Amino acid sequence: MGVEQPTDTLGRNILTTTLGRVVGWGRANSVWPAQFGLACCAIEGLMHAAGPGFDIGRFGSEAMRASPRQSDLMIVAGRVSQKMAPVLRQIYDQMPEPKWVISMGACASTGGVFNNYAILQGVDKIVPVDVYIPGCPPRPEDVLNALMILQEKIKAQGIEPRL
Amino acid sequence: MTTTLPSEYVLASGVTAGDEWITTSREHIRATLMALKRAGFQSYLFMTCVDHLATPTVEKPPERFELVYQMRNMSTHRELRVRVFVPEDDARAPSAHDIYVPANWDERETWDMFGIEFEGHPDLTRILMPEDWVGHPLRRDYPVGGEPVDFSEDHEIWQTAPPEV
Repeated sequence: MGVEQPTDTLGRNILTTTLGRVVGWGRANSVWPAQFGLACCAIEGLMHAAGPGFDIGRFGSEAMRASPRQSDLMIVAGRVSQKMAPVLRQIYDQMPEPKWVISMGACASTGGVFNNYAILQGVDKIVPVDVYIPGCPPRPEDVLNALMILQEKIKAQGIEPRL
Repeated sequence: MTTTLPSEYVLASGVTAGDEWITTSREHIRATLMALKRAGFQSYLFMTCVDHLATPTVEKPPERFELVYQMRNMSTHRELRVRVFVPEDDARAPSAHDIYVPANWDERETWDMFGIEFEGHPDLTRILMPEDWVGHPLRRDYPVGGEPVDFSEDHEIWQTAPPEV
């Protein structure tokens, strides 16, 4: 009788888990993207995903930051020129750990139709990419889907350091 | 319009697709632009270059490079194009940055992309490409570059070699 009553009370208020799961849950639901729109993908897909119709805020990522030092995620939306590549890498280096990268669209992932001297043939040549989004441009749903895939990845990562 | 210009400035003139144009020589380009500005063509629209290396025309252009200056008369709403041919082995032209101020950046771009050297320009440096870039990418014999694409037709020709002249 002395044991049953605390068990009943605490049973509704205590759950057991691991630290990695709690941290991963928190991180996954507050991914703040950096504003890094480079070309048409930023308008066609990214802005719509952030707008009221698709509302990326439902997944905790509506806070697009203008400073890389406040960002967790860099969505590379558009083609990266050879001249922009060192700038992109510097912005990536300025982001605090943990940080993730989504390569949005055909141009950021592979260079797309711009197979020439001026465009970097895939942003994964200079920064590590977590999720690639195909499409030219991708639908806003694709951006949300990539974010959800990234959230699963973040949750699985937990407090482990990134390899 | 060409009547306001001295006859030695105008090598040829005509109207193509509704656009008036005159051709002048490299020696008279500054005098021509100044005369046009006095004649009311106050608005400078743009300046660029055309590489005629592989232009598929029956009538071969006299030189490889052609500078194009587009002017507008804001009171009469008329436009005029000034064309200057520049030879390949002596790709130089006088700068017009002091006549039309916006020509400064256009001449830097033309230098960057086509390698036309503008004499008298205050700061003739690259404006689009990285500073350590080699070559002038919009010349027709500059390879397109990029990465080889499997199963595409003749990519090794157009990505690495100049076009057939």
